[in-house]
Amino acid sequence: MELRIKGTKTTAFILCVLCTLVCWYSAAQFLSMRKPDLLMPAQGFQKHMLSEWEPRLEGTNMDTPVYIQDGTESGGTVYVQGGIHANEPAGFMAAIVLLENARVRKGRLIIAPFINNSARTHNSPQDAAPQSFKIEQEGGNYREFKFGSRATNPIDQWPDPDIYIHRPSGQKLDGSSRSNMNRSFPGDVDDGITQLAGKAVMELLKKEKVNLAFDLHEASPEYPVVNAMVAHESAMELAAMVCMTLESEGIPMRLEPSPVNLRGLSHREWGDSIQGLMPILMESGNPSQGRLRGRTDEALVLTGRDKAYEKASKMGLLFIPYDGYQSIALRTARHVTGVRVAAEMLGDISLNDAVIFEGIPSYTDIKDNGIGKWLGTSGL
Amino acid sequence: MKLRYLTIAVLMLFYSISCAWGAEIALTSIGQSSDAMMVKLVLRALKITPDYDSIMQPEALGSQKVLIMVVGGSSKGLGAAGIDKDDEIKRMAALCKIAEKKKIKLLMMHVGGEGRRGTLSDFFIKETIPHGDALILVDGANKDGLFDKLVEAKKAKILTAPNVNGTKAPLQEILSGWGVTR
Repeated sequence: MELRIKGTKTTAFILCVLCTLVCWYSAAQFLSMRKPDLLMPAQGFQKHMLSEWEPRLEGTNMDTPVYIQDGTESGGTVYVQGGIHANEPAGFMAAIVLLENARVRKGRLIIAPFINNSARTHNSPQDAAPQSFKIEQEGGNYREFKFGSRATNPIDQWPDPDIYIHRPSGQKLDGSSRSNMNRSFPGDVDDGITQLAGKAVMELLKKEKVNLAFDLHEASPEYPVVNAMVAHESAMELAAMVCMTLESEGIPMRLEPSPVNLRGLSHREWGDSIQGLMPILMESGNPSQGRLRGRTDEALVLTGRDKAYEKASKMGLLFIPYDGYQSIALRTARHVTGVRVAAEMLGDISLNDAVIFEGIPSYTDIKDNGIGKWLGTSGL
Repeated sequence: MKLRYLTIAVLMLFYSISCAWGAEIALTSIGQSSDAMMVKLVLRALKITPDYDSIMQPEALGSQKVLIMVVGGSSKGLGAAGIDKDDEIKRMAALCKIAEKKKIKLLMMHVGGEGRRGTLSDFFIKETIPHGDALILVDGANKDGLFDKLVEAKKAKILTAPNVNGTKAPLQEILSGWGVTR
C-alpha cells in the first residue's frame, strides 16, 4: 500500500518548521562544542596563553591555555601537552590530573592540556563519535569534557590540499595531514593555523628551556605502537630507564625509537630542533580509536568495552592485554605514572635538571578509584 | 730512548686493557626495537659496558667473548634505521656466522614479554633464536611454547625473568658461566 500525502501550503509550512528546528538543534549542538571545558588548576599554577609565545595566534581558536608552576627550588623544566588529537581523551585527562594535583617542589612544570584547541570545537565527520563524556565524582557530581577530532576544525583551516608538503623537510604527506597538528612541527608562519600553533609550541619549548617534553596520545589496540613510549635519540636512555621502572611496577610499556624519516611529529622535530631537549610521546590503548570498534558512544570512551575487541584479543590480534575493558582511568593512570617516573629520573641523567612534583595520585590510585576523585569538584 | 720505550709500553698496556674491556661483550638489536637499550642499562647495573650498536655490522666483532642479540621487531625502529626486515635478517645471519667462526658465544634475549610478539617480532624470533647458545626470556613471551621449539636444535638453555630488571640475575649466571664476569 502506498501512502501519499498531498502537498499543500500547510504541509510545506510544517516541513519548513521541522527543517528549521533540525537546523537550530544541530547548530546549537555544533556551537556548544566551542564552550571551553572547566579546568581547576592546583594552587601555584599561573595561567598563560599559547599566543604569548606566538602573538599571531591571539584571538584565534588555536590559542589555548598554558599553565606554569615554579617550585621553591630551582631545577629543570618538564612540559606536558595533551589534546594534540582531541579525540584521544586519556592524553588530555592525564594532563588535567597533573594540572589539578601537582605541587612542584623543585624545578618547573608546564602543562598545556588542550594544545589543539580548534580540534576540540568539532567532531570527526562520519565517525558518529560522542560530543562529550562525563567523569563521575562523589556525591553525584561530575565533570564534563569534550570529545573532539584528530584534526583542526575546517572553520579555522580549510581546505586541505591533495598533498601536504611538510615544511621545511619537503616531505609529501596525505592532504589531511595539514590539519593534523602532530605533523605540523617545527611549524611555519606562512602555512595554516595548525602550523602556526606548531611554531608556537616550538617557541615555548625553546624560550622556557624545557628539558623533558611529553606529548600524550592514544592509539587503537591493533596498532603495534600502543602502550608505548616513542623517544627521540636524545631521550632514549631516560625512556629506557622509565620503561624498566614501570615494568617492574607491573605497568608494561614498550619503548620505540622515533623514526628519523617521518617528519612533522613532535618527538622527531622537537628533539632535532632544540639542543638538549628530551621529547617523549606516549600512547595508551583505546578501543574508541580503533577500526574494529562497534558503537562509538560515551560508554566506549569511558570503559573501552567492545565485543569486537574481545574477539580480536582472543584471536591474538591486539598489542595490549585486553580482557573486555580498557577504562579511561587505566589509560590515564599509565600516562600520569609515565610522566611522574620520567620527571623523577630526570635528575639521574642531569642532577641540576631534577624536577620534583608531589601530590600526584599513584597508578593504582587512579586505576582503582577512577579519575573523578582526582579532579576538582565543580558542584554540577 | 728509555723514555720512548716506557711511553710505548704504557700505551700498549692501555691499548690492551681497553681492548680487553671493550671486547668482553657486544650488544645489538635484531628487529630494531629499543629493547636492546634496556639490556644495555641492565648490563650497566652489572658494571659491564658492552660494545653497543643497534645496527652492529660483522666487522665490529673482534675479540669479544659474547654477542648478545636482543630480539624484537619494531616497524618504527626499522624505519629509523633505514632498513627492511630482510636486510635485518641478512645482518643477523652475517653476525652469527662471524661469531661462530671467532668462537664468540651467542646469547639471545627477548625482553618484551607478550607485548613484543606478533607478526613482525615472530619473524625475527623464528630466524634468530635457533642460533643462540643460551636464551633469556621475560615471562609471557613463551605462552605458546614457540621458544621451546626454537632452541631444540642447539639445546640452548632457557632462563626466565619476570621483567627486564629481573634479567640481571640470569644474565650474571650465563655470563659468569661463560667466564665473562665473576
